[in-house]
This record gives sequence, structure tokens and C-alpha cells, in this order.
Amino acid sequence: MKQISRKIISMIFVICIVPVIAFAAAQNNELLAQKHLKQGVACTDCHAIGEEKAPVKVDTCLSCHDGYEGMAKKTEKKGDGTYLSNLNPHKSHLGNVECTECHKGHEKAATTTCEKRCHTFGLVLP
Amino acid sequence: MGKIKTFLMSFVLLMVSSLCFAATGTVQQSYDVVVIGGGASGAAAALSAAQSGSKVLLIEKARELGASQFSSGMMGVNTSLQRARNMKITPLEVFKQMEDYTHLFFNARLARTTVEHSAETIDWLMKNGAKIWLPDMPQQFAHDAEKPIIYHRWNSNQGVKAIGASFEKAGGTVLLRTTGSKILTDANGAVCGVEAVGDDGTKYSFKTKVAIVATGGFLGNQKMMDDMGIVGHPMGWLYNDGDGLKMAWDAGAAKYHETVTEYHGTGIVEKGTNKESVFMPKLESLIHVPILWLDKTGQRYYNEHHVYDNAYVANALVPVGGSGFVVFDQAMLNKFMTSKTGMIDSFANIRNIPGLENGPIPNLQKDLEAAMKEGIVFKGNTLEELAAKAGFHKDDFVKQVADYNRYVKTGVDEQFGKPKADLLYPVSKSPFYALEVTAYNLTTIGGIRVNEKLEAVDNDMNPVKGLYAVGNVAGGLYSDSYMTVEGLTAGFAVVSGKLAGENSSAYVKSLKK
Repeated sequence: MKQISRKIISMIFVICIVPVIAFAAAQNNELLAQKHLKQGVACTDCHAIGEEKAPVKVDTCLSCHDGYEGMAKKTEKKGDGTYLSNLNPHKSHLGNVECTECHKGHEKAATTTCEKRCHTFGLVLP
Repeated sequence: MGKIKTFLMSFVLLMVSSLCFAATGTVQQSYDVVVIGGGASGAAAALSAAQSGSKVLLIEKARELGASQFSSGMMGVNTSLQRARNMKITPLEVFKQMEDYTHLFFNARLARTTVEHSAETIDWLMKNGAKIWLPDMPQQFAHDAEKPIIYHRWNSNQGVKAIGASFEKAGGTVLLRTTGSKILTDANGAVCGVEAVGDDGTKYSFKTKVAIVATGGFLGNQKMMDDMGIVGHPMGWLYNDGDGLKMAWDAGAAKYHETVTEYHGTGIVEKGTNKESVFMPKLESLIHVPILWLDKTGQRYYNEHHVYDNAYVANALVPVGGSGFVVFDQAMLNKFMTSKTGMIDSFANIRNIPGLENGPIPNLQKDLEAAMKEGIVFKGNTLEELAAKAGFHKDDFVKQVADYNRYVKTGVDEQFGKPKADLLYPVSKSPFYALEVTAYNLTTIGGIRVNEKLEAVDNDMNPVKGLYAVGNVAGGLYSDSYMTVEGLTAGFAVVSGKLAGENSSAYVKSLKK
């Protein structure tokens, strides 16, 4: 009986949990531009027509993502009072960091601006 | 003969005056005052100059004002906020504290001016939109714990932006993403222009009577740090690369104390990159207590009670290379994981630790093991094994630990006189651990010799006419290290900025007469 229930549990794991993990991994490997496309956001929704190669303007990102304040609210963490436990990548002493300083549309995300010299937060960036 | 002389003179004058005019292909504009750098000192300088009636340009190389500065408070003496809480402290008291700390190795008139004008500057900042408040507790135990609180808190990001907005309201011009590249002087050595380059390649040539250098320290420039022998983990940011210092020196200002830096606090740093490690939040409780601290050879290097002074704890590490280790055994680790540490945490006020004592910290063992993989922590079943792994000189280290354990047993630190209350934990129960700790560095503070008017001067104290230096590039206030006058750096930044704005505007007016 015990063995059977163990088998069932491991089957449930394979059927349900593994795909979730694999999907999550795929999500993180997916480039931001592809993610946008899947959500129905076309190239020219971000890049100006005729200037497809020029970097996206920050205001374009902010217009869909609720501005700096909206983003700050989304990633707000209360923390437990310990150092960096309330870290909010969208609200820091660096002020309004431009989206593209960290997030990249067509390549892997860069280390965050603040991580270039001072910190290593180990954040996983979309 | 006279004709030739006149011809030659006018030729020379033409050549010289052409120094102040730009080559073709540049954007040319004219101002009374150009401020280079838009942090706390530069924004204050720009605002006060504009309010004093000057036509002012503020250039900043980052995307916004205040993007390359960070402070959470500033020194203020006899401010309206202190008086409202009936706190009594005079500028002269703080001045004397500075005298003691620097052993008079400072510009006394500059120091006196700084404390004298701090209260009015804070009122002025608040009037211009900066939110400033006085905390209920001193933020650090050592610096001001016995005195009225002088550390006035602010969110420097909000504050600098507010000053910038007031500056624009007062008619000033802000030019972002633009880097000052040269300060031009005329035949008499007086400032006559500033050149700058925009991120988009635009070249600017500004005609101006005044240049105020407010470019901050240079901890964003690792090469400059290395060249000047500055160790530790830099807390300064990318934009602070020392270019303002070079511009001022080239324009005739004398060098003064360009290597003075503010070591402050210690931390845990990633191997190879000199950046703060992800393990800092997890393991910092181990470096905020007066346990056994050793240098890289495995020898004690200070009385660990000084862990309670954020400046001293970092200063002590610098002569031994900027980093060392805290060393402890399994017994102490077990205690930290299961109960209070038995020692006040030096960051207790800053981290809001209830009862000031940390613990229990159940994940400490797990986090230490993880940090071991990154070469930040070493573990040995014997002291000899730990010595081999951490790079200690084995015999000296083993003797040091034996001596230290004796001090713990007798309650007498024969070596450095650490108080008995701090001699809590021997290093005797295997396995043994060593966690690497590095001195942190807030900023360089100095470089351009100034007088109390914030005029940049030569070595004979003669001003370079029209050249001013404020904030972290101005040399004269600090002798060698972080002064234990909490908030002095940001306080000096805003006071010196405000004064330079006023003084330079008076200079502009004197030229127009």
C-alpha cells in the first residue's frame, strides 16, 4: 500500500509539478520581446515605425506599465526590518532608473544598474 | 617700435580671448554661473546662485538630478527642528569636536563657516521643498549618542529633486546627460567658460564668469582608487569618476587631500568584483559584534569594542589592507542560532533590532555553508586546517587564538584592553570558522584646495577667480577620515553649495560694476 501511494505521489509530481518547473524555466529564458509578442504586443507598439532599430523610449514602457509609481507598487515588499529585506528594484535611492538600464528586449537582461558597482542582489530579471 | 608692440599685444589678446570662444560646430550659450554636477552640493549651489540673481546653468551627466548621490541625513547645529525639541547645542561645540578629531589638521575657518551656516541651510532647504526631519534616536551609537541629535534625516533623492525644481522655478536651466569637460580661463587666469559634451555627442561651449565644481568624489573610478592606494568596498557610484577634480586642477586650483576618503562600516564583499555580496544581509550579524577579529595573517589588529563606532571599525582595517576576518567556533554559532547573541548589534538602531541584541538567527549555519562555496567563509576541523584554508600564518594564528582564549577566561585583554563584557566567546570547540570582512568606503572627500568662501585657491591661498568647489571635491574640512560628526558630509555638501552660490553671485555682481 505504502509503495503504491508513493508511486502515485511521484506520478502526480511528474505530471503536475515537473511541467510547472519546466515552464517557469522556459519563461525566464524567454526574451522580453518574445514575451511581449505572446501577449499581443507588436514590434511597432514599442518601436517607432521606421526606427525599429532605435532603443525603445522609456515613456513607451511606462505608458503600459503604470509609470514608475505603478511599477514601484507592484514590486513593493514590506520586509522584516533586516537589511535589504524591503528591497524594491523599482524604488531606490537611485531615483527613476530607466527601464532599459536593466531590462533588455532582445538580449538577456543585464545586471541591474545598482549591481554594476555596489550590490549583488541576485535578482532574476524578466 | 610702439606700433609693433601694440600689434603684438593685440595679437596676444586675440589669441587669449579666443580661448574663451568655442570652435565652430558647438552649441554656444552665455551664463553668469555654470555648476558642474547636480547632486546635493551642485543643486544647492545652483539654487542659491539663481536666488541671488545670477543666470545659472546646472549640468549633470546622469539622467536626472541626484542620480549619483546618496545620503540619509545631514548635520545641523542649533536648527529650528532642534530648538522645537528644546535641544541645546552650539556651533562652537561641534567646531571643537572637529578640532579634536582632526588635530587641527583642517581649515578652521571653513569648518567654523560650515557649522555656523548649517541651521539656516536646513531651514532654506525645507523652504525649497526638501523634506527634513529629526529622528528620535541617534542613528549610530558612537557618533552622537551622548549629545543632542545633530543628524537631520532626509531622503536625498526627494531632497535633491525638490531643490532642482525650485532652481528651475527660480529661472535656472538644467541640462541633463551632459558632462563638463573643461574649465576655460582667460589671460588673467579667471574663469571665462566651460566646455561640455552631451551623451548624444553635442558639444557645448558656455561663456561664464563662474564655474562651480560639484562633481562628487571618485569612488566610481576603480583605477583612480587603485592608483591612490584607496582600499575597501566603494559605496560611491558610477558617475563619480574624478573628472571635476582634473578640470579644476587644470584650471589652476591646487591639489589638497585628494586621497582622503571616508571609510565607514564593514561588510561582506563578493570575491573578485569588490561588490557587496548577496550574503551580506544573511551574515551581517556576525560582523556587528565584538568577537575575535583578525587580519589576513591571522593576527588581531584592534580592540574589537570599536566595532560600535562605524568609522573606527573600518579605519582599523585599512592599515592591514582593507579586509580581514571574524573568527568563531561551533559553540558560538550554535548559540547565535538558538538564542540572543549576548552582544549589542552595532547596527541595532539602524536595523531596528528590538532590545538591541540580535538572535536567534536559525539559518546562520546554512548561510555560512553556502557562502563557503563562494570563498567568503572558511571552515576547519582544526585551527591548523582553518589557517591553511583562510591563508593565515599558521603558528602565529594558533598562538593568537590561544592567547585570546586566555583573555576570555581571565576577563583581561592583555593585548588591546577590550572590555571584559566583550570577552564572551572563546574559539575552542571544533569546527572553526573565518568569515571575511571588508572596510566600506563612503566617498573620497577632498581634492581641490578651497578657502571658506569655497573659492578654489592655489597653494598660496590666492583664489582662481571665478572657480569654486563644493561638496566632496572641496578639500580642507577633513583631515584623514570620516569625522564622527554624524551627517557632516551631506551637511557640508549643502552648506558649501549654498555659500558658493551666494559668494559667486556676489563675485559676478562685482564684475558688472
